[in-house]
Amino acid sequence: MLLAVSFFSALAGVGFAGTAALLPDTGINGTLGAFLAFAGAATVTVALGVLLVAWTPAKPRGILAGVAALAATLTALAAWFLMQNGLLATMVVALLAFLMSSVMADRKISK
Amino acid sequence: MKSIICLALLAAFLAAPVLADQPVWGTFNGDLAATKFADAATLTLESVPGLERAWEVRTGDVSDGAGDVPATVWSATPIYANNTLYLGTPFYRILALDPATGAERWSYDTKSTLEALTQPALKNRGVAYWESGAEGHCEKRVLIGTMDATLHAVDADTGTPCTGFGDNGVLNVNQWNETNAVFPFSVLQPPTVVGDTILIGWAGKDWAYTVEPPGNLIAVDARTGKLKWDTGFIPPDLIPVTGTANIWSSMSADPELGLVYVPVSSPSPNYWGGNRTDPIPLATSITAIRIETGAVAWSFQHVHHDVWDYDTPSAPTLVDLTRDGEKVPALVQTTKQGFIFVLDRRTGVPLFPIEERAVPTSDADGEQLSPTQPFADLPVPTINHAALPEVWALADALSFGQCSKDRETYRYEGLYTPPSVQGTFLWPATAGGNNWGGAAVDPRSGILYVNTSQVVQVIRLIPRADYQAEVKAATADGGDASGNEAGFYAQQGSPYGIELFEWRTSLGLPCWKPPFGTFSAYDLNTGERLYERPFGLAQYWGFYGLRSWGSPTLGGPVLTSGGVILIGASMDNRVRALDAATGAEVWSDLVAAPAVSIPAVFTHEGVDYVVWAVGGNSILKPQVADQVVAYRLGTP
Repeated sequence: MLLAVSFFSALAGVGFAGTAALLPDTGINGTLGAFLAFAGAATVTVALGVLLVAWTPAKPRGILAGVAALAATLTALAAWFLMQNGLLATMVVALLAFLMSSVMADRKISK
Repeated sequence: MKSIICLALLAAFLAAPVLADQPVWGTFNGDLAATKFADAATLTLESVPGLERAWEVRTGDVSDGAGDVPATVWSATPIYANNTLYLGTPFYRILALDPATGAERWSYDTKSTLEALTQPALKNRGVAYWESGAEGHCEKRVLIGTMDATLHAVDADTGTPCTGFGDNGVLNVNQWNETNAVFPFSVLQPPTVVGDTILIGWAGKDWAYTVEPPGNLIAVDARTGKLKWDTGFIPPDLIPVTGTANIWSSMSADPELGLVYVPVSSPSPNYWGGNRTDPIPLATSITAIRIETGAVAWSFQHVHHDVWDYDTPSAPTLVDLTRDGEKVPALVQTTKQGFIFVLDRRTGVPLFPIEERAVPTSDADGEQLSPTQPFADLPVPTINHAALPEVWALADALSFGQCSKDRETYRYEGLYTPPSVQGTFLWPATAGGNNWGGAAVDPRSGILYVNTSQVVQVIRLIPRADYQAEVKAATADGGDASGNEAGFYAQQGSPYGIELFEWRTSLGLPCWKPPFGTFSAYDLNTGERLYERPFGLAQYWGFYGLRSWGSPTLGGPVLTSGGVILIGASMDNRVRALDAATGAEVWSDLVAAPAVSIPAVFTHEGVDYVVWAVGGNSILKPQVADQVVAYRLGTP
């Protein structure tokens, strides 16, 4: 459930980033920073999507989780410097939900 | 008694429509005194957070330079007169808009060539307005200049040409370009209109030549365009070896004194003066000229033998100050080098001490610098010249020490360290400090408000024998043949070309410690700086800097009688309202590009409006727009 929340939040982030990068008069449209943020949000979304729907062995799963967490953190940081509050909020939610889902999954395994 | 009261009421009633439409914004700087002070009573600190967009217009006259049309730079101040808003565009069209709705009433196309004949971009700073006071066709006129040296006059009501002006409404300004005519007289700044006289300055091609047209001020009749007088700023015997000292910026005037105050630029070439070692007293000066005759009344040269391109950049601001209990008609000049010179505008006598101080010497071939330059400690300069800004630790770390190495490589021995072959830090940068946006002043209190860029550049003289090879090497991967895109400029005819660039890391971070831009207020009666704080947000690759870093700026502020500063100017695509008492931001809005213009603030049909032309300027960042955006207070 939390992983799904994380995924859909990241997906919303892709929408925010794409809008900011491509629509006119956003203050950052067409800039390298906007496209980096878009790429970051897309990376988070793809990584979380794979984790959500595809069975993966433990090692690749760990790598994907690391990529998702790192990309979400960097994209949130970029969003703050790009003054894109929507993107910032979605990345924070995605990151927190993902971390919580990971912690809860670990607890289940340890039981 | 009753009849007196009735007469008074009638007079008040008749006066009401006139008062309701005050104030106008009839010139580039709002008024001939260039105060940029708007008596717009409803725009107060309490109300401006409620500013809302009234309308927005896209002119369509914009280019990013990617196609055949050069990039545009649009810094027009809209003019509000004749109950209409008039704008010039960088495609050299006039738009007449309904101030309440933005609906187009008429447009006029000069059909000027869209070529960057002098400046690197298609540039326009707006239009000028004249009216005779009579009724009829062309008794009210709008004037627009073009890059290809013409001045067009059209009827303010219909947009049709005033056929009695020049040749069927078009005055060929280049007819007075008779000497060293290596470029046309580009009329990019709207002319100044005083009574029935149109005062025309012009822009040239910077940094390209040694011998250029000698700068002059051209006065023509507002009805016919016929020459009244033409005053030159280069001594006749030096014209064969140098040039410019032109007026490319706006002017101010005191019709009561019969004087126009002109900001005169530097002579050519800009960064080496071995060809012009004799004095050129009117270059890089503030000069008062008699409107009737063109005679020079007085002049104050604020840079002797200018080799820094520290042109006088803006119209002097005229304000009456109190000195020793008496009102003194003063003139205030902000400058690229950060000095604020305050003079008695009747005589040019300084109202604060100005001291000639020794400055560094040059080792360039043939150069003979002035041993001293004028310094004014009061009002406190907008730039701290005492030392170069410190190396920014963040940029230094991210560039693995490049900034620190640069600091050791390039020369800086204080303000007026001359350009050199080894490379010299230009602090402040050649765009200032303070530029054409100038300052706003409160005529009631004598408090001055000004935005300042805090930018460091490096200027390097390149011996002629090496110049082409360096340009070729720098542009081998696809720059233009001139090298201008890579920061190279020829100064043809002199022993040196130049390279000019901002002091940045290879990733583009500024090497100097922030702030990069500030906003300040000064009490002109005492010279005291009331506050200085970072202004705007720097932006690079889309990422915004911290508030404490501020932003370089282009464009100027307007002050309302309610104590609000209205200003665009920053590189972050924002227009803002500030508390004039503290400089704190009280409102902002995101626009399409940097609003590198002075807003027009006026009252139309009883409603106060603020209108910005939003066009961008590559000096701040490579983003252009064609947006006109008007604000008014929302309905409570």
